[in-house]
Amino acid sequence: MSLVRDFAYAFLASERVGEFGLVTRVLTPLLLLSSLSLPYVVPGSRIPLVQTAAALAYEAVLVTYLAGSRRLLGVLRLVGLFLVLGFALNLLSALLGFEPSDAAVLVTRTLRMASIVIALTLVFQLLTVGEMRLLLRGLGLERYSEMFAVAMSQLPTTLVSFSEAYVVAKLKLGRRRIAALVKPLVVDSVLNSRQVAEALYIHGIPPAPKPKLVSRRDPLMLVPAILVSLAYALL
Amino acid sequence: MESPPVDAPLVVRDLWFRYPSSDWVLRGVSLSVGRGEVVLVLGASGSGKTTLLRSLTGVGVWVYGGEMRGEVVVSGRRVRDLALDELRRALQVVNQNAYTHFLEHRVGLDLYYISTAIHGAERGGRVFKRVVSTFKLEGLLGRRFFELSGGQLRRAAIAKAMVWDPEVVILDEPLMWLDDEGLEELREVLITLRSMGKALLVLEHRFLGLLDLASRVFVLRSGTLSPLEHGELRHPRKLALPSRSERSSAESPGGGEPVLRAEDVWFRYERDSAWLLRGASLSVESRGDTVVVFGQNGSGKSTLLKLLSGYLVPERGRVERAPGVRAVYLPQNVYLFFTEESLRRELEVVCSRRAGGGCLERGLRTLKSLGADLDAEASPFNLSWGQAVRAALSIAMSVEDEVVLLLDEPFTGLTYADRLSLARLLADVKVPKILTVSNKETLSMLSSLPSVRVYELREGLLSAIRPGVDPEVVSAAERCRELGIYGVA
Repeated sequence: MSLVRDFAYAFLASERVGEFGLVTRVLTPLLLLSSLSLPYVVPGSRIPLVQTAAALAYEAVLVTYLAGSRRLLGVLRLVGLFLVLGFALNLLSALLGFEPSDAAVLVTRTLRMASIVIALTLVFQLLTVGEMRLLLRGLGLERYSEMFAVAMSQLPTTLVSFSEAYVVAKLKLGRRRIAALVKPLVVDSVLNSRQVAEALYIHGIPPAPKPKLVSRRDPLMLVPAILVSLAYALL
Repeated sequence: MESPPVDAPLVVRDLWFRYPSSDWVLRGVSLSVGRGEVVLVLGASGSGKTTLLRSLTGVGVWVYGGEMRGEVVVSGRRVRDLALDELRRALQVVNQNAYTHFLEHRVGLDLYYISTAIHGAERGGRVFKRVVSTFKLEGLLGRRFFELSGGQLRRAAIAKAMVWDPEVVILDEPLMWLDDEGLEELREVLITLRSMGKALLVLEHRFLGLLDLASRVFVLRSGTLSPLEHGELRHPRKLALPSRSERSSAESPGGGEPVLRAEDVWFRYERDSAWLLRGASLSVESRGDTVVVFGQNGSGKSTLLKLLSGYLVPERGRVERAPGVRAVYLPQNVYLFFTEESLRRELEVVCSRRAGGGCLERGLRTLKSLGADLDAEASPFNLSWGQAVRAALSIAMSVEDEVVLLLDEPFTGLTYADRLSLARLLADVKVPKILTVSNKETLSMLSSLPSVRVYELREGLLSAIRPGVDPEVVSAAERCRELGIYGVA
């Protein structure tokens, strides 16, 4: 369960968001995500190992700066779990007579998947809930911006309830019927949502004040992101 | 008792309210709260306290689609004539579940955003600083709201309400989930608000700790409000734990082999964080052995229960369960215990895991004996808190295997009378059990019962104590029953 908790923490805004301008904080994860996704959309393209490793290293430094090494490890642990499953499936496919993937290709894909997940968490670490709402409103998605803000604000408490329901269901019903925890969680969420509605009635959903668009520290984050992305895209 | 003020910021006249397709919940409530006054409204769960709150703010009509009659006047204007923004500036509410008040995860950011949204950048900045300093939030600004203790969370939620600078502040069950330290924090905040001249309406059933602050006290019963001379409910506000010399060795009852034992347990969630438990040891034995773990919020009580359940593994030391003994965990939010649509189905599912016959019949019998008002076909999610705890206990005890019950703060959300009733029930139930408690009032009730051993969990260490029984807490509970301030008989 601490695995899930650590992973969830990687989606919370960093205390250091104020050190950088909004433009850089939006561009950095977008650049990383788009360049790392290129091999998916360009047919026949290969995944460059060195550039992928460079992107991962840059992300690791950035996450460590923003949230600490514990959060980085938290993300990598969960990503690692899925990667181990992927490896196992590959081995299984070999046993079943299918042609297994090349080991080097597997390693490169592994690194790229980890990079993409970390880049995704960076979107959330670099923007506060209010700033995301501001951006969505700017895109004309007013209603969705409010729904998003409320959902993000209640995510942590929902995870706490999930952890409790998990312990109960495991002890009461055993691992086989663990899915039964969904019912109390849904009821809990519905009951909670009524209180959320009442709180919103009395406070509203205030927009974030306009954040600073640029900062003197921006190049420290943005330049390496551009370099890493360009190196990836040019191949 | 003081007389009601003439030019009160909150005046309620002959208020009636009902939800769609339901009977009237409020039947002619009249009330006024003056500047610098704390008015306490007592009432059992389900007595209509929250409905009263919803009627005062208009939530009952606008969100729940209910019907309202009578008049609510805030700062000299009828609520129905106020625009939403005007209402927010005149009256603020702090919900039972204060977590719902925050949108940003960091307290400082949330308060700053709302301050600037209401008052503009410049004035908002000043309001933000004033609120932070008034409510002593300097150390909490960088913290995430879901990591705060109960008292800190309430303080931050009240501070957020005060950003609007309202004349009237309503608090709905502000002591829910609060330990003794949280209670003290809340009292400080109420004293501050009172000195600022705010009109405070507090809806609560755990009221002993607030009685001395209240100017007037009312009881809400059957939809009507009646004044209460609260002098007779007063009791020494601070209950003392025993000094070190009075600490007992908490001898076990000597009923045989331990069914569950923790020995020198050390635990922390992260390798580089501080130890939450540092060599904790306890054991629960035989039938009817009841172990109470008392500690403030965040002291590690829930973690200890999860270690005892086998869900968490200690970093050092060991937890041993006797062969064939099953642990059943009742979480703080007892509704998370239920996974089926009816109590009968709950029993069927639990019994289907066991080979022994007669499980379902035994479960239904237990259900009846623990709560005569519980219908086996009822949905567990529609039960009151007290009923839900009883139902969960019945289900846990229905299987024939030997069971050890782990109950995480089962008294939270209960009235004094219901707490006493549940404490007695737990003492009667002949199943070994470990339960956690975070306030001295409840501890005092439990200490009066036989076969109860108490440990205090502090700074990661468990020490056996023998707390004194405060007869006034027990008598207050009895008095509450007489006044009708209880949920489940």
